[in-house]
Amino acid sequence: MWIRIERGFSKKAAGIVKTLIFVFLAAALFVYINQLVQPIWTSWSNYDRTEGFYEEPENTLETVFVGTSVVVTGIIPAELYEDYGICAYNLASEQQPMLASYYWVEEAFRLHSESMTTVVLDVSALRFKQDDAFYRKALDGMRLSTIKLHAVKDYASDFSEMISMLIPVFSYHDRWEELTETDFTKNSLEPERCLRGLCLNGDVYAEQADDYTEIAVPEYEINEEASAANLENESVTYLMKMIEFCEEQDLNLVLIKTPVLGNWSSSLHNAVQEIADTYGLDFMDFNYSPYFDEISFNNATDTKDGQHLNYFGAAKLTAFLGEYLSEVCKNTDHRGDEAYAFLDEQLEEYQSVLASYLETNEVINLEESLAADLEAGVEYEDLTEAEQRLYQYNLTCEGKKQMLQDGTDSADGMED
Amino acid sequence: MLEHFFATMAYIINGIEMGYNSVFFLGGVLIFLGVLYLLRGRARTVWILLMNLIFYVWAGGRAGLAVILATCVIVYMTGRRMETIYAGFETEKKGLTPKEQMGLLNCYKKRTRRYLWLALFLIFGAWAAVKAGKLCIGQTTDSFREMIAGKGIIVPLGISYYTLSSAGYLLDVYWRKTKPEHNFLDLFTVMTYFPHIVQGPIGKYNRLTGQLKNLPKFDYERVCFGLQLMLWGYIKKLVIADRLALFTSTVFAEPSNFAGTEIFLAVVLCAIELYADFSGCMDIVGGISQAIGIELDVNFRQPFFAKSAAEFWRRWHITLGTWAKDYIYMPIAISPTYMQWTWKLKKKYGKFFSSLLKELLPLLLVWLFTGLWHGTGYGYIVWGLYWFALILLSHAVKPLTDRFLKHFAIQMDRPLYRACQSIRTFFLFVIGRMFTVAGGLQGCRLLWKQLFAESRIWTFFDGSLYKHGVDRKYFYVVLIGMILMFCVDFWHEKGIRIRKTIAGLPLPLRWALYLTAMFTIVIFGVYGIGYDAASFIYGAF
Repeated sequence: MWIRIERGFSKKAAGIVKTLIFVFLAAALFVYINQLVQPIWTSWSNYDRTEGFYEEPENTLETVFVGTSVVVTGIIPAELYEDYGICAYNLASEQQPMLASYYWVEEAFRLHSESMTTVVLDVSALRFKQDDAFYRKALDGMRLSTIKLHAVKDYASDFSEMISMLIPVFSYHDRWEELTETDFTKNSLEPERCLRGLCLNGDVYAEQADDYTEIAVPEYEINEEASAANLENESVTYLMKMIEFCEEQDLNLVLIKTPVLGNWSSSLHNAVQEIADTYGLDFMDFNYSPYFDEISFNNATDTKDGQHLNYFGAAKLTAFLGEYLSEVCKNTDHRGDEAYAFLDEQLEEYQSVLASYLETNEVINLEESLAADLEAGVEYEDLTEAEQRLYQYNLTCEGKKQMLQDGTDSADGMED
Repeated sequence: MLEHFFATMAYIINGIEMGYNSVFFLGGVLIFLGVLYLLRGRARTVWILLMNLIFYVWAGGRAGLAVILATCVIVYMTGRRMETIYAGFETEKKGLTPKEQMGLLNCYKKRTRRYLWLALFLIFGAWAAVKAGKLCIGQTTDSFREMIAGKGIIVPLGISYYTLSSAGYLLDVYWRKTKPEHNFLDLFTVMTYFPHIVQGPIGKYNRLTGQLKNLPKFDYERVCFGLQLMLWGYIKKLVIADRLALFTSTVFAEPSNFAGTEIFLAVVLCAIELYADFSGCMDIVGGISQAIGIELDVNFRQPFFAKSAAEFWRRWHITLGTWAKDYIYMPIAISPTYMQWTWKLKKKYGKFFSSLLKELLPLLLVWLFTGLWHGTGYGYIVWGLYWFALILLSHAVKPLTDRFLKHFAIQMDRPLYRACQSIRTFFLFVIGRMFTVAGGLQGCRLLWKQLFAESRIWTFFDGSLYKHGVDRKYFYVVLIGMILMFCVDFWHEKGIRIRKTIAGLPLPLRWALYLTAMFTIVIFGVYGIGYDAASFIYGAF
């Protein structure tokens, strides 16, 4: 009798144990497949940026930059530290929607609430609604937390879509068709921390363009009469939320617009200026004077395609903003601070990464090379094609500047 | 706090479309089974009913629930009423001769018939109203107010199925083949039973209530087999059927954009798609029921192995065919008036032709009904008549075909001949599908026209075939799936019990098979949001 009960019990127990082991195996396999199909984007330094961000020691960041791809290539946090000792991070991404920018600010604040004082936002995303893919690129890298859940819930149209955003197989199981080595080795992929979110780019527009006439000429002056453009609804909503959040947490919100000649207008400027005036925010638009002149921006040498700053443009913009952040926003100079010694290590690595990038890609400072050639008395016909384009472009810009100057002079003259 | 909880619940419920292929349904079923085996006796029935109601409202809507409840009340009361009337017959018949009993029974039948007609009128009337409403108004709604305002028609979930089951139940009680159910809760549980409410099988309520009252104890093997059957059903539905649908629906949405090979492939694949979808669904619900301990009627028996039109309908959607036979064909065929009339025909036209004519009327009614049951529109009526003609014709020419085969010494039981018959029957089925699949008869005409417009055979080679919803890699996945389906059907035809055979394999192999099946669904299934690699490539903003 005893034996029968015992045998019956152990058979049942064996059944339960077998079931549990099977369920565990299935669950483990499910987790593995999920992490396998989750894409990581290495272009525009997406993976390096988010993974590097989470490796930063807590409560060290003082300034975060958010916005679209113009910020991705346009802000060099390493040089902010080098020249001004500011601890900053570049949290922008391709076509980053304002919703994502807002939640990344919240996320940064969650981990750096004691040290964070400034948020710099590039306002490009206010112009239109971004596609779903860019929400995924901006948010997939955010680790799970209440902030991520809020972000996902805000973006998703219903619960099913929310689950799709949180559990990779629901969105990406079709990726079995395109799995690569990166997918199988992603767990051992080390992020490039020293760039601190920057995507290095050494392409020069004057070299890429077929003709100098392609390169957009600056407007120089804002047309203050231009009626304010209509900004996209969802983007403005999240800008308002960001403004509110920064007020609540006593953060300084700074609006900027990187130079994107031909893709920005006075209407858009005025629309953003209105918001900045209403909420007492600084708005620095580098498409027009005075900020355009402050960084001595040259579309032909400082961008890679007329819209995205290259390394040279980014260096100019970063230098200016570094001074602004130090003087006006009173960002702390952490050079020599023991707690921030890790930034010295990163800076060293950045410098070697930069040097090797410039060498490998044979990047030339076109501005300097043209100036040197002209001083050496090289004839126009003997300049390189890129230098010729730059030369012609500079002439065109000078011409326009002169024309505007004359217009102002004659207006002044008429007042006499 | 509580408010927040309800808001979250509402957000979750509104955000999930409930149905058999929802992952939340799957999770729900597992929880349901877990709780079921913690309960005992009547509590289990109540638990199943609770699940039925939750599923019904979530997948179908509250308005529909009111309709099915009303239907159940009518069915229950009519059944009980008829029983009470017949009880009178039981007492009165004592001491009478058989002939006198027959006469007495007919008197009683006249009384019960009134209730029967009323009930049948109400439930078929509701169904006809829904069909007419769908045709005229087009929009569906979940509110009585909106329906009265003419803005839409309420379509109770499963109305086509529970109407037939209810009618069958009432007719069986009327013919005194079965006793009516005394427990309203049991009847309602069986009528709203969530595994068979959406797509059948069309069950007999008295058999199901009997099973409900005797639910078995937990049996590890039975529950495992049930879950495995569900797994196979999900593969057929999510990996094969839903994937094929991406291609076929693209072609049928705009047939004029396609021709030749593309049309041919689409119509052949849509037949396989329908089989995978429907039989997959039957396996899912059959598996759930097996895990619960209820046995649903078989609905498919390797239909593409059928060698004739008539045999096809004994293997495809079996419960519908059985229902039509039990409640349309047989009542007419064995009714005294009809038998008298056909006997007269036999004298006039001889044995062969009279058997043909005897078959004609009930068969015609069966197929008109079957056509209209599948949908409203001329396409469906033509479809019904098409099968009627095929079956009648095959019966009519049988003596000729027999002589022909004998003359050419073709042996009917050789595998090659049987294979040819099966393939021919398959294509007859495909042709039948064409009447309704591209939007009615006009669509059918367009399909035939496009089929012969040009060959488009190059689409196989230049890769353009893989641009209509299913790419090359997924075509291979489906191909493997279809081969697997064929193998499973082939083994079933040979009488092999696959789950039992797998259970006999060593544990690592078994588990590898189960895990492979599960992850085939996770990786290749059609679910979630589609992934479009191109949309992730960044263009200048």
